[in-house]
Amino acid sequence: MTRRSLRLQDKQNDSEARSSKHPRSDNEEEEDEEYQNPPRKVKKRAKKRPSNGESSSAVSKRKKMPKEFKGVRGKFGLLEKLAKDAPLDIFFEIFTHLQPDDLLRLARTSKDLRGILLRKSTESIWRTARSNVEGLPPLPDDMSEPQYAHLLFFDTYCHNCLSKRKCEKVLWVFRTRCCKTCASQLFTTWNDVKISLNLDDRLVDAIPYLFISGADIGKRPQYMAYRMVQASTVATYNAEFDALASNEEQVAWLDRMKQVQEMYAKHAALHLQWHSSREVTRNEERRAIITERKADILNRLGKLGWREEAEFIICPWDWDNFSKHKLVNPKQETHRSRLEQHSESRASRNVNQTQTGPTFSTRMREFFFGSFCCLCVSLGQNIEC
Amino acid sequence: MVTLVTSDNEKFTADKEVAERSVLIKNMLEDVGESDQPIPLPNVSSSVLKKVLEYCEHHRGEPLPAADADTTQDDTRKRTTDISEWDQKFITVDQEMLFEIILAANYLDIKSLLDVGCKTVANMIKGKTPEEIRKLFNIVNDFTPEEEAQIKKENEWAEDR
Repeated sequence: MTRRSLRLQDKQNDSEARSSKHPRSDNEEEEDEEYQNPPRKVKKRAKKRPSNGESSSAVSKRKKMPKEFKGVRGKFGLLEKLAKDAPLDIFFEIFTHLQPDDLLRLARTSKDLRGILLRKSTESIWRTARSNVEGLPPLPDDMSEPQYAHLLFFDTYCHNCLSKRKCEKVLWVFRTRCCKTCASQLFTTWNDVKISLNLDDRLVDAIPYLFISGADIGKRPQYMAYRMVQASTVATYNAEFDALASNEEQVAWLDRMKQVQEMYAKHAALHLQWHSSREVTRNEERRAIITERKADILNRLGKLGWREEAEFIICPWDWDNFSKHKLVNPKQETHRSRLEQHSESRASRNVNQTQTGPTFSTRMREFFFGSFCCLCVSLGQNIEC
Repeated sequence: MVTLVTSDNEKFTADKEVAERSVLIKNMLEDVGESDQPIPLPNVSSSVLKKVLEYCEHHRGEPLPAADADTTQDDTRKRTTDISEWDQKFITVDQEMLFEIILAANYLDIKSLLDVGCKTVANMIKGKTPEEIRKLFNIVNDFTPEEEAQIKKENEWAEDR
């Protein structure tokens, strides 16, 4: 009799030869497998298939259900229905409650919505949405509403390379957000471009420029600010300037351009002001939330008998770890239910001993007394030895 | 009392004061005069009218917005998407019902209810990414990955069709 391993090998070779002679469909193979191991296969399938005859897509849909609608029954597709079946007035009425960045995000969800929202006729909606943002500087003349929203609120990524790196600063003069790498490619210093293109000195105030620190464009020394211009626009401005025949025309053109640059600078200053005041408001709001959450947590811990310990841990300063914790800091994704779950699960572990248990000071006393006793015992043992 | 007949032929009776929160019904009653005739509402189903009457009953006696208040009130009204606690509870329904309520409020001309509905939808959209909005409203992403990258750069007005 041959060895078992050799027999198995022969069997495998046979089956391989058979399969190469008669290529079979996947179904046939499945049938064979089912025949060999019927109960196992059936069990596997039963696991995969939804139990009460629902399609798998329905199950996956339920899994994907957003949190707000987990407890809500019914069909989705409200916006689609509104767009198709409801009068357009209602659709627009909804939009008037949004902000420009929300409109832009909506316009990026589907072609239909993009078609509706980027029509010039919807400009009034964008205007209303813009008025919903408190203190926002007016729309510059050279920009459309979606462009302004895009630059102002949306996509804090580099608008040139679209990388995921954050670019918080808007370069208003150049109407873009730009990362360090792209900035060093897109912008050049005025001196460099002047020499290379042999520019007229009078163009210095007519061409859009910005003082950028060496650190932001990867130029050394980093502490210095460089007068940067956009290489592509310089060529256009220069060509326009050269095309003017007389000196008077050139002077008039230079004056006009200078005024435009001043307008750009004023607008940029307004934005800087708006941005900083917005940051202040946001920080105040954040601080208020932190204080409220801290108080809430302390109250809850107090009910469970942990207040003294918690107050001992929490520092009164802003930089304490407690304020930075994900359940306290509003920057993190938190909500009350999660907070409740967390504190309750933590507390439930100690609930028996804490609710009727001793206070912090007594516990500390007990702890030190216990360690003292241990020390005494070990010392006693040493002496005995 | 006013009798209202829904699209599925169900009859509802409501106080005149409650029913007249709907400008449509108010105008109808004014046109018809004192009469016991039921008012047909062919665009509203019974389940929706029940909700609408619940809203009207709760807000009974509150001042109705003036017809010419659009220009003066709209600015302040649009600045906020705050909804009162009761209204928030009232409007916590599935999307289908929310849609029906918005349509009914528009048809019956109940400005405050339409406002609550629109604000609710707006609040659902606010601060969400395109992907989250798609998931929430079951919108199919018909952009190719290339198009999606392109639209991030293009923010010009499209030509009016």
